[in-house]
Amino acid sequence: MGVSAPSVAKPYDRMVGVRHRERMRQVRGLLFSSPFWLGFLAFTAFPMLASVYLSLTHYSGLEAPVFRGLGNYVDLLDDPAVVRAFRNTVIYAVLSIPLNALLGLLVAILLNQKARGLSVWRSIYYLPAIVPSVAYALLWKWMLNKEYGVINFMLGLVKIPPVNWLGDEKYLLIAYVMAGLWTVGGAMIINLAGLQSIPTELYDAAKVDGAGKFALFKAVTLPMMSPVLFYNVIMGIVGAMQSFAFFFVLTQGWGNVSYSELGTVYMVHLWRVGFQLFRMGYAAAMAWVLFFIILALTLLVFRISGRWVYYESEWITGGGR
Amino acid sequence: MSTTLEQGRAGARAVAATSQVWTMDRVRKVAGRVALYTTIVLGSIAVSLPWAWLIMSSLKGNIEIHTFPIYFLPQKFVWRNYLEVLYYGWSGPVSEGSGMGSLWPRYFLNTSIIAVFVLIGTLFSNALVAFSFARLRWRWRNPLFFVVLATMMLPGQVTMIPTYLVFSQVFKWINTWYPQIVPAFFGSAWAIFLLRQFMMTIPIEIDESARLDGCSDWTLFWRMILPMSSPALGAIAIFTFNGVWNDMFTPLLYVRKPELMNVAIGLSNMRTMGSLFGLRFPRDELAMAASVVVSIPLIILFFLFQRYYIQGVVITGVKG
Repeated sequence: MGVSAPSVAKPYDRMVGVRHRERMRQVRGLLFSSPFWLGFLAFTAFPMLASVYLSLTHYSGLEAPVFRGLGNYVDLLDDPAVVRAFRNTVIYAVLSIPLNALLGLLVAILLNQKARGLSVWRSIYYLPAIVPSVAYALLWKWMLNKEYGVINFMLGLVKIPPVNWLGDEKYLLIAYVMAGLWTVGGAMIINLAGLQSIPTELYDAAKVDGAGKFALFKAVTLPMMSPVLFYNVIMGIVGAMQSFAFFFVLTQGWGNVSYSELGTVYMVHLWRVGFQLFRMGYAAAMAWVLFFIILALTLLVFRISGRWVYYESEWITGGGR
Repeated sequence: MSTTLEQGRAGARAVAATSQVWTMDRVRKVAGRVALYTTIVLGSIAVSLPWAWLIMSSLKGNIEIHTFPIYFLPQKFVWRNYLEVLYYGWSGPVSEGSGMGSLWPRYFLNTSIIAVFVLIGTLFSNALVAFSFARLRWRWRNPLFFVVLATMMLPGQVTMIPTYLVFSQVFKWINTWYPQIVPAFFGSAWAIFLLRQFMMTIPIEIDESARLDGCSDWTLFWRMILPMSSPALGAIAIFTFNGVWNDMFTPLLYVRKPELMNVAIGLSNMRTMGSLFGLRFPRDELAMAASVVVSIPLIILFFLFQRYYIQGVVITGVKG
């Protein structure tokens, strides 16, 4: 382009060269990052716009979409199945995630002590977190089996009559929470990293002031860990709202795909509305509602605390081990 | 080895020397140790029980597993369950599974093929994009990086339905692996973020001397920065592989032919049902055996690359 500029005045020539080089630099920058931009247009920007439009229509995936304004969103609010799925998801998330985070912190503190074979113990606690989610669900489904499940058997040993875990919504929610606790190792690892990033000077200073073990925990560990805990709780809730496979398999009927509304969660219901009942416009509206809830929770994290960002970026850039 | 032995001896001597004096302090210390180890051991037993139950259930016979009262150990170890999962059938819904050979070798092969392509796409495209954000200087670089980060906030569900419509109706990708593979070649925000952060820590002098030697951006990327980023690439590879192995949702939408399914969807299709002369009965022991088989590769991977795993968990924050 500017390369073949006529050789007149020198400063002008140099300016063209600089401009050319700058432009090439710009081109290269965009070129190297182009995979993302192409993907962004194809898999994010366009589908998002299409999704906005679809959420305003009635669309079965076969005939042309019929525009119906905010009708889907209005219907969502008093659709008992949606409300039920949403309520189940919230109950599960609000019970399970803080419990997990707290237990995760306790286990992390336990395995942050000086003990022999720490890495082995940590692996044992962490291992359930890497089980594929479908296997996880199948195992728990079997353990929760009413007649032959080991959980009811153990309850029987202390004379508690068998519980219909998978057939009664309120027990099903308890079962979700119980099953979720098995992956406490994931929270443990994050908390361990958090614990190790607490400067030891703080503990030393507190000890000089004569603080006991419990006081140390209350005055140093908990305040220093609270941003990590808070971040994990909110992000855990966001994750729980989007999880699918575990709930799908656990609530799946026996035999052929017989879907039960019992204990259904938001994502499973969304899948069913879109891909089994072919109400794609309605499903798109459900997805947008989920998006705004997640957005609100994420903004809450950013608003309330900026501390964990510092900790995280420091860790990534090699500040930690 | 010998040093630990010596240390042990020295420790033992020290203990022997002081063992007569049971001061209050020492009692408290020993009690603390005992309490610590008891808690750790009891906790790990509790955490391991579901594992043990999984393995024991996978080794029981069909009649025994459905007998009450239940026993922890199988009366007779039925190793045949594993052969049955891997070779003889019972692998899919009754209509397709019974009578024909097991689909599990296919599931493993399919998942491995998909994983290879997804890994190539993920590692290459994300590294390239991260390189441009970390090592090249161009206008709007930082505002555009913010756009990358912003897409992390966007849950996939919002784009799910239009994406499905395009893949299935425009590209006709039903019963292909393209929906699982192609998006991997276009980068994903968390991996770009992780790699960019890592590449920022590589000294800038490397770029300067490379450029003085006349290296192009591409050579700098391919020969220097990419190899030096291998720790971050390793973490991303592990997580990506995990994601492919676990992905049930994409094949659920796009794959209907059993012989094209991956391990996750294959496992979810173990409807724990067998049939004999039209009578249906649950085959829970086979579902458990299949669960063990599907978990094993991830467990091996975990022990081989523990460090990357832990790093990845901590960086990505939530997911276990």
